[in-house]
Amino acid sequence: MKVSLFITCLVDQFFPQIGISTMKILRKLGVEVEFDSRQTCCGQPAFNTGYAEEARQVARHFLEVYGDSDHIVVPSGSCSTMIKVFFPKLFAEDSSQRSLAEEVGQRTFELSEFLSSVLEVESTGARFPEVVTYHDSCHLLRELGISSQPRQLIRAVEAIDFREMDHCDRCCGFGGAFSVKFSDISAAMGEDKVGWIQSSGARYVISSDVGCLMHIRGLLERQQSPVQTMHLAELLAKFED
Amino acid sequence: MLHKIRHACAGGSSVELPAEMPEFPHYSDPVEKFRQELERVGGVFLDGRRSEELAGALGLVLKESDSTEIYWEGEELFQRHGISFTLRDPEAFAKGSLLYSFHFRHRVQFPIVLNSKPAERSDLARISLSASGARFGVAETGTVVHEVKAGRGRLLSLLPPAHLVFLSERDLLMNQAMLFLSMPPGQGSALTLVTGPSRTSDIERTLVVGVHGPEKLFVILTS
Amino acid sequence: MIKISANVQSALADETLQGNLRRALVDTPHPRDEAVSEVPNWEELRRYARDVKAHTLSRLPEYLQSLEEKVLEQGGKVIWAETGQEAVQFILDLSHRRGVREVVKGKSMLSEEIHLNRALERAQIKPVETDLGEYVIQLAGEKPSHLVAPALHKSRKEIADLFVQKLGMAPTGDVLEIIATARKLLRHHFLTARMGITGVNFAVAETGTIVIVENEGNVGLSVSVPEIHIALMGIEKVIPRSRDLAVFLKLLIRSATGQKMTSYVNCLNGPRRSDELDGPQEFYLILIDNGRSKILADDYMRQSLSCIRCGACLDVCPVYQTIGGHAYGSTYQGPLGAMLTPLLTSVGEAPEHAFASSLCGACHEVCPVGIPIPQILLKLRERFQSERNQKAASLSLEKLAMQGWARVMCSPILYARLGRWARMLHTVLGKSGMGRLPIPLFSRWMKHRDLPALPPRSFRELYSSSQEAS
Repeated sequence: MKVSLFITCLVDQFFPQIGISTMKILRKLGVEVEFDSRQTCCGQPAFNTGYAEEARQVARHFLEVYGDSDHIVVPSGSCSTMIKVFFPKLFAEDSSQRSLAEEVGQRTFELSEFLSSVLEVESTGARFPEVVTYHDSCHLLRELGISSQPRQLIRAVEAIDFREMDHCDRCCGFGGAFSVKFSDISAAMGEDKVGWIQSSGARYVISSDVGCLMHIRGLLERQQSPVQTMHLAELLAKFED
Repeated sequence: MLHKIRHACAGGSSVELPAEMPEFPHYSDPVEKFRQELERVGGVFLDGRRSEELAGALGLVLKESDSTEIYWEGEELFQRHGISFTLRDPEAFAKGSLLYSFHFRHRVQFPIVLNSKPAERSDLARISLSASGARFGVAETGTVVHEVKAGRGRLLSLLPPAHLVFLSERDLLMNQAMLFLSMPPGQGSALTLVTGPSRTSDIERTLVVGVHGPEKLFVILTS
Repeated sequence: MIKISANVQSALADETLQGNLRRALVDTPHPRDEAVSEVPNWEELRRYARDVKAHTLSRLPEYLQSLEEKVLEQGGKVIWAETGQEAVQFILDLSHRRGVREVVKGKSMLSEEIHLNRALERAQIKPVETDLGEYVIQLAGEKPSHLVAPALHKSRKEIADLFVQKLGMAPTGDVLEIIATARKLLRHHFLTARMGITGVNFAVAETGTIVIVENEGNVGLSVSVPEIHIALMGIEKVIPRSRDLAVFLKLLIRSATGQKMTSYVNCLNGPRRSDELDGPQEFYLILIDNGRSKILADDYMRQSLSCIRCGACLDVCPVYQTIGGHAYGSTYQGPLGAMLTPLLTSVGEAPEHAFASSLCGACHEVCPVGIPIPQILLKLRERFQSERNQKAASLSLEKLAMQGWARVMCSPILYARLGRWARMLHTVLGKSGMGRLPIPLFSRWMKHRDLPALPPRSFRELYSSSQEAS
């Protein structure tokens, strides 16, 4: 099977390790992974702040790059949502672009969904003898309805101690532009989240979205907390090469 | 203004009414369901379907509401619920706009002998226990339906701290959908769905019973 | 212009408020969850309600006319008010003609929206709020902070203190005492006021029935004792048939309070008939537009008028849970307020409302009529940006930045090059130096959180060197 990776701009520029982990997992499972260097961003920052025209331009670029790909795998819940759910809305008045967007959307998968539902993988063979908890990112949970797949994959990690936190499905407060436009509210929401993470007893908080993790990590570091953030891909790639 | 609304509506897409109502639940034992739901919201259910039970039920209501008299809304209530009664002052019932009470000196006995005691509206505030008949009951939610129509009013069931409702078993409907499908198009000016005593959760979202309406609600099921 | 940002700091710093919000909304599971999960066909009910609302809104003039006819047949009167001011004026004129000095009121958000109490007070007419929560709010001289539970932001102790201070109640921590005090005082108002004013939850077009849902019995009294009953109704509240009520009541009540049924559902058909024992002699239904037909004219935004005001979206909203209702500075708060405030006024009048959301979608998830609130907020953001840039003589800095950003994101070469430059800068300045750059985006982020350190090489650089190596 051949897969086109959409690594997302945040992972590309800030957290390349997540991209490498994603690639490592997919290759281990016998998938041929392709990285098209023309890829940039899904357009979410513009869409999220009301700049639809700019978002459309970036979305068009994405569709040019990925128009012919078989499977597109994305290690991010919100970028997958942008492609699958919001692209068709962006092109509501352009029927040819809209149908292209819908087609591409059907071929796009968030990583855990791809592993569980397409590859039907139960375990990636990772081993991680630590206490972890999982934060549901909003788009992944509510727009794409994905909550059991990442949990199954986490539970299958050898020697792991997985503990649900209270309010695992409450927004961490990132919200893209919200995190800077309403920085105080965003941080207060994040501090709630950090509190629940800490009282779960976990040493690692796992999530499928870099945005949430960046926000949560920023708060944890400010508090000098021993708890660390980890992307799902990084956890699932903890196996011997 | 209507013109403006019409104009605003004109450009929009037209949507049809859904063809079918969603299902509402049915129960094998609607009386039992009604009892459960009524009790869950703090109402008191009494089975008066056999006439020998009725006296006991009424006695209990008086005791629980610490009353020695009940205000009725009129003669019809007795007939509808098969409560046998005798009038000591037949003329009283000819006075249309008044309420009637019965004083219980000892225990309740049948036939009930009515000492008519015409009451003015201003007396309503002092009444400790009133009784009315329900047009319908709804098993799904433990609801009784109070209908305002000729010779009846809104306040008798609302002002006193305790209220007693007679519900006939044949008027007990399964669910809310049946209620609104069988509701007669308004002849009277009001229809109130009553489910348990008056309550509030406005303070710290804690449920407290008894605010402006009755604090105690009794329902006697008759056959 | 309403600015939420101006109220955020004080809301976050208010420890009592924070404690009250947390206790009411975060630490205790909402009764709604259980009440909804026990209904097997909840989704079907939601779809039905959404479709009925969409249908009704698409034929609103017909249904309003039918409603008017039926109300008239029953001896009531119907007043069409294009603005809140028109509605207020009618009430003032009528009160004047009838010599009304005091009005008992049932909880009505529309009354808040049209600022009725302020107008009544100015005309020397005393409005008495009779819903316990509203009564508390009125005593405190505040505004409701929640659609369904107006005094949600207050603790039992604060309410008790208020009663001691304003009503001379003996100090107590007992809720029953507080309620007994309110009951006694309000009973007097019920028995003397000559006008009752309430809102409307639903109005049935086929029968002319006005439906008002409540728990306390205060609405029942407000529409029964006084000689005059005035019902205030937004034009979007009409539904076609009686049977639809079964569905709407089930959705509304379970979503609002988690009850299966409220203590009272008042279905009113005009004034008392001559052969009835009591009830108001005059009944007026005021149909209020106040910006609604403007929303109706927008085919997409129209769905926001389906809202049945259950308040569930407020309860689950993490932003509302964090700042409470007052910080929104508007009559409607939480996700509903974020959506409705700019729609009823304009995005210029409420420029921040659509942005005061992390778009987490919890509101859409619980909405009993399935309004896609996050989508509507996104549309409003779009509207705000386009209006802002159309009106201004030159494009905003943000718009220019966005245009530049889009250009970079459409050019892989430019994108890769900028990333490289940023990393070079990072090597020179270090993480803390990056944070000190005069970029508002950075400083606002840094206020509460650390910036992520930039890695020495991007993924694409690592990838291409690994490809070359192999």
